[in-house]
Amino acid sequence: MNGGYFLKETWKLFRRNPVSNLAALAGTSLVLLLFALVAAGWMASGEVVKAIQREAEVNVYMVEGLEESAYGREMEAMASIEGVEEVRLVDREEAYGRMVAILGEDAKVLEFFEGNPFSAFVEIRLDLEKTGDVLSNLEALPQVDHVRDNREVLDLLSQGSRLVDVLSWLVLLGVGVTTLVILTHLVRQGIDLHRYEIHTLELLGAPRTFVALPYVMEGVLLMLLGGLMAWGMAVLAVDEFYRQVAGPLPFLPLPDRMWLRGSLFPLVLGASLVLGVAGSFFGLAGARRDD
Amino acid sequence: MIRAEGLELTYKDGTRALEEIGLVLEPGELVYITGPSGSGKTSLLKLLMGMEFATGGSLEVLGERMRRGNSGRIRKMRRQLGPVFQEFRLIPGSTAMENVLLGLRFDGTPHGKMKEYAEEALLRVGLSQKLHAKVERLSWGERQRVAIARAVARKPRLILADEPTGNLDRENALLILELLASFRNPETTVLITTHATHLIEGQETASILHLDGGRMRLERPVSL
Ligand SMILES: Nc1ncnc2c1ncn2[C@@H]1O[C@H](COP(=O)(O)OP(=O)(O)OP(=O)(O)O)[C@@H](O)[C@H]1O
Ligand SMILES: [Mg+2]
Repeated sequence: MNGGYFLKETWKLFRRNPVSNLAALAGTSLVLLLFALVAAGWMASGEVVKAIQREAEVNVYMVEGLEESAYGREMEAMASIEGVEEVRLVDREEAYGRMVAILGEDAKVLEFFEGNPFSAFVEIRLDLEKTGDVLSNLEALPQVDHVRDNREVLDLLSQGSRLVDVLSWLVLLGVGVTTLVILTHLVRQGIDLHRYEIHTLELLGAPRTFVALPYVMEGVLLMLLGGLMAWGMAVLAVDEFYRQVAGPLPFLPLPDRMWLRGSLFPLVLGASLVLGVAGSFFGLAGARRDD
Repeated sequence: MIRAEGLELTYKDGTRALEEIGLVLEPGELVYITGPSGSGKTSLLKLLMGMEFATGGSLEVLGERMRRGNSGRIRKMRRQLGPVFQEFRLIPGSTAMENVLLGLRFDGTPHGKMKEYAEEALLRVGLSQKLHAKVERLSWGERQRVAIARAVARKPRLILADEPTGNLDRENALLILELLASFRNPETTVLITTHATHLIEGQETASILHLDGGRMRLERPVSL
């Protein structure tokens, strides 16, 4: 029966001070949106790096003039290097075909070449841990001209994701501080506006938790509502981002959109809950010290 | 119930509100405290409820020592009090029923009984027609009765009513005093302050204490 009472009291707190509550709701939901976007970027970049790492492979180009028939022997030598998992020949036809696929409409430029400008190469899938050794062993083979690996790309990506990590922590800190400040003030304001009611409850012998609960609920519910709104806006933003990116960068291995939505939900709502509880208690503690 | 010895209250600004108050009340008593305005009636009730703490002497209410360091136990003790404040202290924006229910939500009343107790109390003070009226729409006398209903609905061991007849006409004042007196029973003590001495002269089973300038004198001893 008291559950209904607390909900009603909480609603009264909203009604008594609608401007502050709405401003706080707008503020927290926008700040949480920032958090949600950074979290989405963080999860997505992590997934991209993982996906690219999974595909760790190097392309080995042989010295010019080596007959394709001679490749067999060389490939056996490569396969015997420790850390090499799979060796496959990509002949000139296939190399051409791949480039056509990547270029899409722009493949027309290839028509300016006489014949097939691409050379055959050996595609090697390897154990990431041993990349360094494998590369030097491959380069030591006499018939190997050069090895192309995607290490640079990987390095760049992991640098990027480290940056995203750092930014995420900064934003997290900012979001935490900002929402706590907003909530603490809101809760204290609620308490200030209700000194008389609170004092009356105390004179009737109400337990501290009974007196405080509506104010805590005000803060927590407001944050949860803000979190929900932030999540909704973040979902819209993510959808829009995927639409924009799907065209020009089709090969970017972004995580599944639905998975991203689903993972954002508990993250944003969880953060809201924690911040809501913390902010409300700071507000209570501050108000009590004023007594 | 109440045990006071050499009780003294000096407010922070130096006002001496109470001096050398000695008082012993047993369960089942009905006590009136009379005295002119400013004589310290409200101050005494504040001490009894722990709203202020004595600056001298000692005081025990329902077995609890009324001292600043004892606030946790005083809070619990208050759940057995039925306070009627001089300025009512009703919750604005809430209905008569909600105000009365409020006193029952944390005093140990079983949840299934809360509504019944609240309705019963409002019925006894004659407000059964106004259960769902917001208190700020009620007349002064009606608010006073809501405050009384809130105090008695919880079946308290000690009813402390501060000037419950203020601002009422003679007839209604008498009704209210009779009503409050009717809640006295072998377990429940009723203490009422009033400056309307002429209204209580007929009350033969009540003791009357008189306050003047913060000092108390027994006007008429207990005659149970
Ligand atoms: N918080 C306070 N601070 C300083 N002085 C106070 C305070 N409250 C009351 N007083 C003073 O203490 C004295 C007793 O006041 P009290 O309210 O107890 O009188 P009372 O008998 O209840 O009067 P009334 O019949 O008008 O309600 C008065 O002189 C009053 O001005
Ligand atoms: Mg008074």
